[in-house]
Parts: sequence; structure tokens; C-alpha cells
Amino acid sequence: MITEFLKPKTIIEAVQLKQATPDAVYMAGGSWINSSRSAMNPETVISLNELDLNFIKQDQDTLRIGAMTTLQDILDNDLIPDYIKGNLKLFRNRNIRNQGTLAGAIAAKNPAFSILTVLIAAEAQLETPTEEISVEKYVTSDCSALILAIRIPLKAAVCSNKHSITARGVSLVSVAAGVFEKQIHLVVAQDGGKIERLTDLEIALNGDSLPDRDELAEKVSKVVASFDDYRTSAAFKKYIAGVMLADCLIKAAKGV
Amino acid sequence: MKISFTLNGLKKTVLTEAGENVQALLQRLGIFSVRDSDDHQGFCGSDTIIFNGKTVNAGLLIAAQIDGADIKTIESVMKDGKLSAVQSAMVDCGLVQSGYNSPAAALMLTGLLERNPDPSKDDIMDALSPLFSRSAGYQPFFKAVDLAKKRMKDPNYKTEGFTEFREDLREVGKVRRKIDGHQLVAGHKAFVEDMVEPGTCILKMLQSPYAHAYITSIDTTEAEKVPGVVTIITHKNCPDVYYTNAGQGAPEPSPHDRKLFNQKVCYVGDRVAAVVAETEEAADEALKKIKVEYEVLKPVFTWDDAQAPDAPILHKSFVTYGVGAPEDLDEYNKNADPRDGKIHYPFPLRADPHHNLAASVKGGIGDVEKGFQEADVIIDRTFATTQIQCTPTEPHVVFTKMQGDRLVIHASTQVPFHLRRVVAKVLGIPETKIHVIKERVGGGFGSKQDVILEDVAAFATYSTGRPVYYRYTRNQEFNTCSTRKPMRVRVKIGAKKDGTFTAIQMDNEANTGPFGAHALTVPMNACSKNLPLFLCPNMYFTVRIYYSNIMPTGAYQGYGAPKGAFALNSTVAELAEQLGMDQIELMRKNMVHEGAVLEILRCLGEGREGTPALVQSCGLEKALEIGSKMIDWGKEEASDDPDIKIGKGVAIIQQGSGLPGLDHSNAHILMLADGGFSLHSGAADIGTGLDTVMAKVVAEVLNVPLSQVTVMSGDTDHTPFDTGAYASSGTFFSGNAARLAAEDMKQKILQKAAEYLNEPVEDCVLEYPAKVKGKKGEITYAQIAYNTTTGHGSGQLQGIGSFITENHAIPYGANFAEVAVNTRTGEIDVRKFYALLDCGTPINPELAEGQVFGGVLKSIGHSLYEGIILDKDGKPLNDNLQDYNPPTIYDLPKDFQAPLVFTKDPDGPYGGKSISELATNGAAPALAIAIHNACGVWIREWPFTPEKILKGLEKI
Ligand SMILES: Cc1cc2nc3c(=O)[nH]c(=O)nc-3n(C[C@H](O)[C@H](O)[C@H](O)COP(=O)(O)OP(=O)(O)OC[C@H]3O[C@@H](n4cnc5c(N)ncnc54)[C@H](O)[C@@H]3O)c2cc1C
Ligand code: FES
Repeated sequence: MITEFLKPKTIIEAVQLKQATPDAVYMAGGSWINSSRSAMNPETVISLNELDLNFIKQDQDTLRIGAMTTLQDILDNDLIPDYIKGNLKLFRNRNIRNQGTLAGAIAAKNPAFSILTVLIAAEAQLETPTEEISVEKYVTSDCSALILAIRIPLKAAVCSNKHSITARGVSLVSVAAGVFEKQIHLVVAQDGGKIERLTDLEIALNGDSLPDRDELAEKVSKVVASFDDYRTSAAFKKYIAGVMLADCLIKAAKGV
Repeated sequence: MKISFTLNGLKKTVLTEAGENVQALLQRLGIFSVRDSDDHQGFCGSDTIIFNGKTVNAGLLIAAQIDGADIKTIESVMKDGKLSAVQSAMVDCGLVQSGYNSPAAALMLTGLLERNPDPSKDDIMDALSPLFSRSAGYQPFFKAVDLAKKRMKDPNYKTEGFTEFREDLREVGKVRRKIDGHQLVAGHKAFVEDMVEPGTCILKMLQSPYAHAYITSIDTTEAEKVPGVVTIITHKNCPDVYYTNAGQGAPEPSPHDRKLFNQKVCYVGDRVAAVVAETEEAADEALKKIKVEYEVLKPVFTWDDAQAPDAPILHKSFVTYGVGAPEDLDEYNKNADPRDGKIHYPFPLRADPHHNLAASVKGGIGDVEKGFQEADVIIDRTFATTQIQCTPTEPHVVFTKMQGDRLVIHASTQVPFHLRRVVAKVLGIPETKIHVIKERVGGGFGSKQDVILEDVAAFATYSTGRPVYYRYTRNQEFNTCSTRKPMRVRVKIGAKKDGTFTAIQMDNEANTGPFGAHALTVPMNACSKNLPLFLCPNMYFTVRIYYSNIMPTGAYQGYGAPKGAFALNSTVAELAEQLGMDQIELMRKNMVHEGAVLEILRCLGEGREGTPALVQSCGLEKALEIGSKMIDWGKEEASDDPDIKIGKGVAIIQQGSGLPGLDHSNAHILMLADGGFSLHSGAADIGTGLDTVMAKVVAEVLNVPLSQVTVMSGDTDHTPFDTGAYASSGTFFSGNAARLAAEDMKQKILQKAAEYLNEPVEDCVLEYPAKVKGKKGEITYAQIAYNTTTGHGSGQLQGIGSFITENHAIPYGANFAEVAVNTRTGEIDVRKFYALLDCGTPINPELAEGQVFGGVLKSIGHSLYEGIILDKDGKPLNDNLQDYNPPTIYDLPKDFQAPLVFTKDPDGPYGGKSISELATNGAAPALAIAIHNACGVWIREWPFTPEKILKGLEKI
């Protein structure tokens, strides 16, 4: 049970509190920390509520989304590009979108949170008190720095999809493909597994014209490592990742 | 810490822990409407509140987060106790059934209409996306939003969009406000959890980590020393009484194969010890201090393993019989192991527990072998279904307390009277010492037909004198509750070239898990609710039910019927294909019709000799005719996308209306001082609207408006006996008992009126509203009530009704599905689903429609997504709602309709037959057939996953 709820007024204070109490966790909306599903059970939380981090601002070709901006506010904002909105719409729970933040979803580093694949494919960056770091690096390392804002490119050819058993079920396989000046980004995440860039395949595909969708799907399936679990077989997950990612890449290559 | 916030417009300051869950905090502050359905996981939205202007789950917030916030709950939308436009529209569109999270849904829609006064279908789905609800299948929400919009402009706007029935009647067949609708949608106290008193002890259970083991030692000494612990119950100090927890009429057709606690644990999650303590913390600490040693045994999980020659045996028990003991019983009992305890059979169930056989039966009519010899074509297929969780939004819950020397049980049950009987037996006390109060039930679906947790709480209270509250966590709902039995059904049909059936055989195997609750009757229903759909002279069935170490099973809406319907309809469709005939043509050639006599029912009585039934009403033909037109049966649909193939499927279904010869309902009616009526019925309304059915029937018989009838039901002290809400008996049995009581009252009113008017009884008639007219004069009921209850009166008028029957009022139906199968991804998109059901006269048309949507969506879930999966040691892997995957609003068929098919039944109350169980029977076969029609793949096992489609198409 949470027994201590710290309310720093400044970013510096927040960082100092975290240094002083390493077991404490930052709390944004709290939708994940408080959910029995996360099994986090911290004793001390550092609330980010009083830091001024609820904003969406345009900075030339980039959008800066403050760490306390909720997913619903992001979805409702006209500045937000469709490749983000399209994925957030697949997260079918308005109550949690009203409470949860994008920074919280990133920091939770959960491969079932499909928005992560999109952010990685779009090369989104994070502002922290000390450095700027890519979402990819943040979620695939043990970095737990305080996220202040997320920077996303306004114009990106990114396309994403997910497979779940029901419309609102856990995303068992999430994929996103992005194309930047002919640079291809391919991202796959599997619930119970990991979030990964298919770097070798990206390199193999770069520069050439894309193969047809079935060949592309087969290439993806081949390089995605998977595992059997009680819901689906590895073979199915590899196959569906291939099919979904091939379709996404073809769309992204066309500028979506 | 101290926090301050605004609650429904009023400032509140409360002392709390920073981490106190806000849902629990609000309930502590008396806001009962904010409920928890998922242990704060974020799946159900039953705890929706408006937090700083936006809907969120209170269960995902902690107290410190609401310091300074503005919080609104359903109480904020009501003015002067009146329902808001959204709330009244929800009730009037049949959405408030079990009602556990209706206030939450009302808040979501209130927020929607504030944001967007003219929302689209997508907007409505988005607003309701956090909601998990099973009773009315979401579909009526679209109508309700439309009605709410109109009522916001004109509060008196009439409900529209429902077909009403029986022009000759005033209340029956008409859309009327469900009589408990206001209470539920307003979030008033209604459920067991709302009745718990301060000072009540908490009961927590130590559950087995093993699927199969003997408890070799159990030491509770240290646990008992924990301050606040009141008692600990184990197999060593519980009553030595064997019973079945199946809520069935006595003598039950289920083996009495369990005690409160057994020395042998038979599934992961089985009871080991109950701790009763003054606080949750004390209970948790005590649980940790109980020392248990086990001798672990090899488990068995499947019907194949259970019947293997060297299978581990669950019940090597000492067997006794009430009647009909076999001659070699003494010999049989020589093999018993005392640690396995005993089994008592009230009467023989053809069981052999020493070989894991819990029950069996076989029978038939005609000569199937001869029938198959005469056939030109024979088809033989096998199907399997999975273990399904009932998932009521209100988990299983009970509150027990002593009142003097009597035990009071506040229960969320479908069977108050069976519950009283079972508890009396376990405690060894007379029924007079027990008072069961059925509170509103937040979803039952069959799982609350059994005594799941009331027995242990009752014993705890009775043996300590302390009030006890026991509420299942969602996790316990999954690991120690009652589920749909997995079944394997083999169907063999022989037919002539012209399609005439010459023989049908059904072989059924079921997995009953550790105990035999409903072991015989659920699987038998696969036959008794499907074979009579066809008129074939030669039919034969076998049913074998095995014990295993999966978690317990019992009843689920539809009983065994959906599994049999899946197998039989799918086989008929395959046969049609082989014969080159249209499936509907083939069905029409063989199917039942009005006036037919169902001989097969002679051998399908539930634990007794059955009787053949005369079909007095049958809407099958009409359902097929309307449905075929709606879906354009026979027309091939093309898709623009070459990956997508479209197909159609149909299934015919039936159920029963209670159990003729077994079920029994009683009602008692009193005339009140102003000429109104109070009906007392033992029936258990579990949200379906049964109280409203009975009130309408009484109002109709007695010529009064519905508002002049009040209903008290399901209370063992204050209402007469009723078998309860199961086997689709409510409308037919309890409704008929209410009708008979009202007719008895009518006679008494006429006699009294004749006396007061000084006219012959034959000259008197009831006239609406509430008066009797003679040839010369008239008298109001109020005057009669006054006259009969003054100091000189002859006594308050009272009517009684008791209903039993040997007649079957069988409800029928046809389900049509259109699916689009993506042959590249295996995805199945249910584009259309039309459920055409014949429940005779739909007494509550809007609630009946909701029941159909709810039942169908549930079985779409069972067919496509759900099913409990165990690991190799028997632990459920998907033991929470998020991983279990029940459908939510986004999984609705795109075009979902449920037209009610009217037929005239002579036996139902005003022609009413049952509906809700029937609704669960047809989705699996209609979808399986449509999938095959789309892409050529037959799937014969639940669930129909994209992976199975892709395997069928040889893509993986
Ligand atoms: C039932 C359920 C279903 C869900 N389904 C989906 C889904 O389908 N798709 C999807 O994409 N997501 C899904 N989510 C995840 C949802 O997106 C997250 O819960 C939410 O975004 C987390 O945000 P929060 O602000 O509530 O985070 P919190 O609960 O406050 O925190 C989450 C984690 O992030 C850390 N954290 C928060 N903010 C910061 C910060 N600024 N800097 C550093 N660390 C921080 C916390 O310490 C914690 O570890 C689901 C969640 C739940 C509970
Ligand atoms: S988080 Fe409480 S009902 Fe879902």
C-alpha cells in the first residue's frame, strides 16, 4: 500500500526526492501504478501533478507533448498527427485514456502498450532533466529518468497495427513501420516478450524497392523470434507479425 | 492523512491513508453506486466516477490523488430523487437488468451527452468503451442514447422502437418501467455488499496450491493466536456432512460428494482452511501462519485421461445410496480409501466413482442401427467445447449474521429455498432457524444457482455467533467457482437421398471437475434440448460424465444445450452439403412443428422417468422465414477485398420453460388498504425482470394499473416456496403461480363484492381500474378492502397460487449469422447476427430483447474468444477478466437484431414462455457454419480463433 505521497513543486525537487528515496516511483495519472494488473505496489510515490507538464506545443516540425498530458487530451488535440491518433484509437478504454499519460505508458515499458511501437518507428525523443533520449533507447534500456516531454515528428510516414483476441483485449502482437527519407523502421512488440527493432531487415530492405506483400510478410515472419504461450503459438505470432508489418510498411512507403 | 475534495457539490474532508483506494473510500463514505468488479484492474468500469470533469475508474485512483479534486457520482445527476433522462432511458430500453454497474454506464453516457449532444454510433461505443456488462449485450444502448436525447428536451417523451404484443391486454406484452429499475440505476442500496453491518468479520480462504493431494497435517495454532482471529475452520473441525452444492430440487440428481472441507484437495484453489477475523489484515496474517503438509498426487484433467485404466482416482470414496443401491455395493466399498471420504447418491446415477465416472445415462427411441442401415448417407462428426466462466459483474458474495437463535443469510443467489435447505443440512439445524434474503443479484448466469460460498460463511456465523462477510475476489471467481462444463459431443446422422433422417445418435462426454454438481443433468440437456428439434423415428444417446482435477463446474445459462446445438446443427449443415441440399430445406424436412409429440423426451427426464411432450406452440417455421429474408439466405455475398470471404450460417434451437414434473412455484397475494395488491412469491428475480413479469400478470388478472401491485420475492421467511431461477422456469412457473394467486384473489373479490352489492356473483365482473361492477351497482377495491379489514370485516383478502405441470412450453428460435473471414489474417468479423426467438407472448418485450442480445453476445464470446486455460499443474492461466477476453461493446456484430417471434402458447401465463437461456444456444453453430460457408474451413472446437482458421487454410 502506498503510504507516502510526495508532491514536489519543481522538477529539481522531484529529481532530488527520487535520489533520496530510490524505491519511490514517479506517479503521473496512476492508472498503471494503481492497477492490480501492474502488481507494482510501491510504498512511496512522487506525484508529478504539481509540475507544469500538461501541454502540447508545436516546435517547427516537432510536437512537444508534456509528460502529464493524458492520452485522451492527445487524442482530442488537433495538432496531433493521424499516425498517433490512429494507434491511440485502438486503445479502447476511455476511462484509462482520461487518466493515463503518454509518458506513463512509455515509462511502464510494457510491450503490450501498442503506442510504444509507433513512437519508436517515428523516432520520437524524450526530454529528461539531463538529456534527450530516444523512446527506443529509453524502453529497451534500464533508464528510468524522469520524462518531462515527448517530442514527436509532425510529419512522419508511420503506420501501425495490433493483434488482440477481442477488440479491447491485450495487444498480443503490436507492429509499426515508418519510412523517413527512404530509411525504413520496423518495430514489433509481443506481450510477454520484448519490443524490438528489426534492424537487420531494415538494412536489407533499405534502398531497394519493396518486395510484394506476401514476400515481405514472409521476410518479417522469418526474423521475428517468438514463443508459444497459452493464447497463441509462436508460429501464429510470427505469421501475424509478418502480415501486419508488411501491410504497414507498404502503406508507410506510400506516405500512408 | 487528511484530504479535502468536493463530492457531488459538497465539500468533504476525510481522514484516510494516502494509498486508500478511492472506490473503497467512496463506499466507506456511503456512496454505494461506485462498485468494484475486477479487484481494481481497470477492466469493468463498474467504479466509474467523474473526476475533474472526466470519467475515470475510481479503483485506479488513490485517496491522495483526489485531494482538492471535484468528484461526481451518479447521485449528482438526479434531481429531487428523480431519474435523469439518461437513467430513465436506460431502464426503459431494457438495459438495467442485473444493474450492478448501471450507474457507471449512466455516468459514461451523461458525460458523452454533455460533450456531444448528438453523438454517432462510434461516439457511443467510445463513451461506453470502459464498460463490461453481460446482461443486455450493449446493443440497447444505442436506442437508449437516442431516447435520452429526446427526453432531455421533453422529459415525458415516450419510449419508442420496441414492438409490443397482445393488443387485447393492458400490461402484458407492453413496454413498462422495470419495477426495480429505478433503485438499480440510481445506485441505491440493493446488493449484498450494501447490507453489511459495522463490526462484521471477514472470511478469507486458504486455497490449495495443488490440483490433487491429501492434507497430511494442518496446524492452525500460530494462526489462531493472531489478534483479531475469531475462528479457523478446516476438515478437522467442520461438520461431517456430505452434500452437493448444486441448487437443484431434492432429491438432487447430483452426487453428495463433498463436505465443507475435505481431507483431499481436488483442484488448485480448493478449500483448505477458512479464517474468520475481525480485520482483513488479521485474516491475511493468519492465512500465512497456517502450516499445511500435503501428499501430492498425480492429477487428471481431461476426459480421456480420466477414463484411462491407470487413471488417478479423485473419489475412492465409501458409497451409499438413498434408494436403489446395487447388490455388489459392499464389495465395491472394500476398495474405498477413508481419506477420500464418502459419496451418497439420493438415487442411482449410473456412476462409478472408483473409475472417475460421476454419472452416466443412455437411451433412445426406435432402432438406430436399423435406421443407419436404411440411410443412403451417414455423417459422423465430433465436437468439443471449453470450460467457460460465468463472469457476473457482482462476484459471489454473502453476509451472514445471527438474529437471536436464527441465522440470517443475505445472499446473491438464484435459489433462496435450496440454499436454506442445503445450509440447514450442513449445520444440522431445522429450516425454521434460517432466514435467507435474496438481495438484488448482480448477474448469476447459472453460477449463482449453486451454494458456492454461503455454506462456509453460514457455518462460521452459526458456530461463533459473529456476523461474517465473504466476498470472492475476481481471481477466486476464476479459480474456485462454478463454470460451464467442457464437453465432447459426437453426432451421427443417417439420411435418405431426399434428406429424410433415418437415425440420429449423440454420444456425449463431459468433464465435471472435482465434484458432481449438475453432473448428470447439464450434459443430458445437450440431448434433451436438441434431439427433439427433429422428428426422427430412431434416436439414441449416451452421456458419460467424468471427474477430474480442473476447477469446479456446474450450471451456466443454457445448461448443456449450447454444446449439443453446436454439434447437431453443424452436423446437419455438413450433411446438407453432402446431400447437395440447402440446409434450411433439410431442416424443414425433418424439424418439429406444432402438434408434434416428442417421444424422445420419455427417456430424457432429469433423474426421473420422462414423459412425451405435445408441442402446443412452435415459432420455428416463422423464425426461419423471417430470418431468411433478413439475411437474404442463399445469396452469395462478394467482397471488394480478395482476402475477405463472406459466408452465412443458420442454426435452429430450443430450450425448455422449467422442468415439468420437477419444478414448483407458489405465490400469495394480499389486498392492501387502498385496493392495491402485494404479491409474495418465492421466485428469484436475478435481474431478468421476473418481478415485473409477475406484477404485470397480477395487474392484468385483477384489472389494476401496474403501479397498484408491489412484489416481495425470494425471501424464505416472507414468501412461499419456489424452486428458484434456473432451467428457464421463471416466467412459466413463477409467472403462472402469480397468475393463479391473482385468479384466486379475483374469485374472492367477486364473492365479497357480490355480498356487499347484494347481487349474485355471476352478475359481477372486474372492471378497470380496480372496481367490481354488478348489474345494479359497483364497488371499488378500496371500499372492499376497507369493509374486509374493519373491526367487523371478514378478514383481509388473500389469494394463493401453486403451479405444477406436466406440460412443456418449449421456446424455439433460429439464429442467422453473416461473417467476413479475412483469409490472410484469420480474423472473423461478425457482420450480421439475427436472433429470432419465440418466447410465446413476450411479457416484457424490452427486457426480453435485452436478454436475447446478452445471451447471444455471451455465446459469441464463448465461440470466438473465451475459455479457461490451465497450466500443466492445473492452475488457470487466464484467471482475470482482461486475459479471459469476454466481449465488450466493440465486439458487437455490426448489424445485430433480435426480433421476437410471437406464438400462442396455451400453458404459459398469458402465453409467455422462457427466453434467456434459449438465447445462448445458437451462436456457436450459426458462426461455425457461416465460417465454413465463407472460407471452407470447419471448426469443431471452441474457440474459433484466427489461428485455427489459418491452420485450416494451411497458412501456418
Ligand atoms: C486495464 C488497462 C488496459 C490498458 N490497455 C492499454 C492498451 O490497450 N494500449 C496501450 O497503449 N496502453 C494500455 N494501457 C496502459 C496505459 O496506457 C497506461 O496505464 C497509462 O498510459 C500510464 O499512464 P499513467 O500516467 O497513468 O502512468 P502511471 O501509472 O502514473 O505510471 C506508469 C509508470 O510510469 C512511470 N512514470 C509515469 N510518469 C513518468 C514520467 N513522467 N517519467 C518517468 N516515469 C514515469 C511510473 O513510475 C510507472 O512506472 C492499459 C492500462 C490498463 C490499466
Ligand atoms: S477498476 Fe474497478 S471495476 Fe474496473
